[in-house]
Amino acid sequence: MKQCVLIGKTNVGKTVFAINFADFLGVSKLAIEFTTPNGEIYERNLSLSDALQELTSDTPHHTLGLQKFQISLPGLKGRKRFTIVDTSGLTEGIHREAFVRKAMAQTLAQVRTAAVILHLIDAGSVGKVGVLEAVGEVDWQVAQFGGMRRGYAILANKMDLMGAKQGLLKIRQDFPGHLIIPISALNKTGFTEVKQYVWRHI
Amino acid sequence: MSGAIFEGTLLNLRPFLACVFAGFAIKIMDDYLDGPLDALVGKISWSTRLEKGALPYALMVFCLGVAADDGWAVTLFWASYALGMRGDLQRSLLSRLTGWQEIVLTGLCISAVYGSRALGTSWLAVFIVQAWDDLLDKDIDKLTGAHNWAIQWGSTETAISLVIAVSLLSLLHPVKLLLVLISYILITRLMRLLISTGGRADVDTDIVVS
Ligand SMILES: Nc1nc2c(ncn2[C@@H]2O[C@H](COP(=O)(O)OP(=O)(O)O)[C@@H](O)[C@H]2O)c(=O)[nH]1
Ligand SMILES: [Mg+2]
Repeated sequence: MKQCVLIGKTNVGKTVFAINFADFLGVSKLAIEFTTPNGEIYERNLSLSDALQELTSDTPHHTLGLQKFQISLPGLKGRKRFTIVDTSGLTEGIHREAFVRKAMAQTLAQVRTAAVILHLIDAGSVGKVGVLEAVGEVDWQVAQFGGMRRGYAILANKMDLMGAKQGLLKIRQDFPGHLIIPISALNKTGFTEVKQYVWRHI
Repeated sequence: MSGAIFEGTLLNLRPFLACVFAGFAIKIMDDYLDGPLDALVGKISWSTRLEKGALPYALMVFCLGVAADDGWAVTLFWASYALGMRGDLQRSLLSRLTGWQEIVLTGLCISAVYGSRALGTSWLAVFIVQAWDDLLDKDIDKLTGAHNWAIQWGSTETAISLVIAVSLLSLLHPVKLLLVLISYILITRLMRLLISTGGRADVDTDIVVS
């Protein structure tokens, strides 16, 4: 099964995107496979609203480990199946907690084998505080790595926020040569473009 | 007598009109399919604005093509369908057939009516246009992940295939080569004109890279 990995700093909206994108594609119940940073695996069935409530938050590192679920993508000519992999956020430097460090190593391992890498950046906060503040060293590294392979795109998220348009322009300036899709994970805008992009790579 | 002359020129015009109308129908369909992402990278098309209207529009324009010359219009459309399938040759489609099977089955039906020579030369003509397009759009297609021979095979390989196809078609059916190329240029020019004069009020210009 081909994988679409969501990557980016904590709190950029990866988990909200994963759940709402599933909703957009017509999935009503999620069978989520959780992998803890220690490698234990368990599965849970959640409705979309329960998933949103339980799995997203504005405190960092709410998602530790990986959350995977399968999606059957309806397209112009038939369907294609793929797995969405929601990862724990990347942070700068080396985190003091071993558990978080493990989670990050796990995230990077997923990236290597993914067919699609969607790199989320919070355009709202870029608009507010500027690229240098809002975007970290990790983001540059991810973009540099992503630019060398197929299936890498940047999702400029939170376009519903004030100043996000400004943020999008700055992201375009600072990440030239990449496909940048403006979205609002919360309001499900820009999802048609993301769907088309994912379709082309799986 | 003047009637006969008029009829004569019109008769010669018919394949050309078939090329233009079928080409328009194909372009509308293609642009519609590639719409959202292409608009994002500034490869804007007039037909993206048609949205759902693209389907009836394309069909109507195609009918005009068939009215002008059915053999030309139908085989050209089949060729673009077959070549447009390039990402999906092995995959099972809505019809439960794979891309290959769809192409072969429809091709057999159409060649039973119009002959395999008409089918083959139309395939070559559309191949030429597609290869040319792919060479021009290589960078943009790389960004959006669109299927593109110049990316898949390399630019040199695509250019060589293009030259071979042009030579073959100029031997087999030089008139078709000429008419298809003229209508291709005409259509792309016309589309560009429609974009610049038609306005795109419904598209958020902040979102489009300039
Ligand atoms: N305004 C706005 N808020 C969002 C959007 N997407 C996510 N958020 C909020 O950002 C916070 C972090 O979201 P989450 O998905 O948990 O981030 P993750 O750490 O990247 O998985 C939550 O409070 C979300 O409600 C969006 O498109 N617009
Ligand atoms: Mg999360």
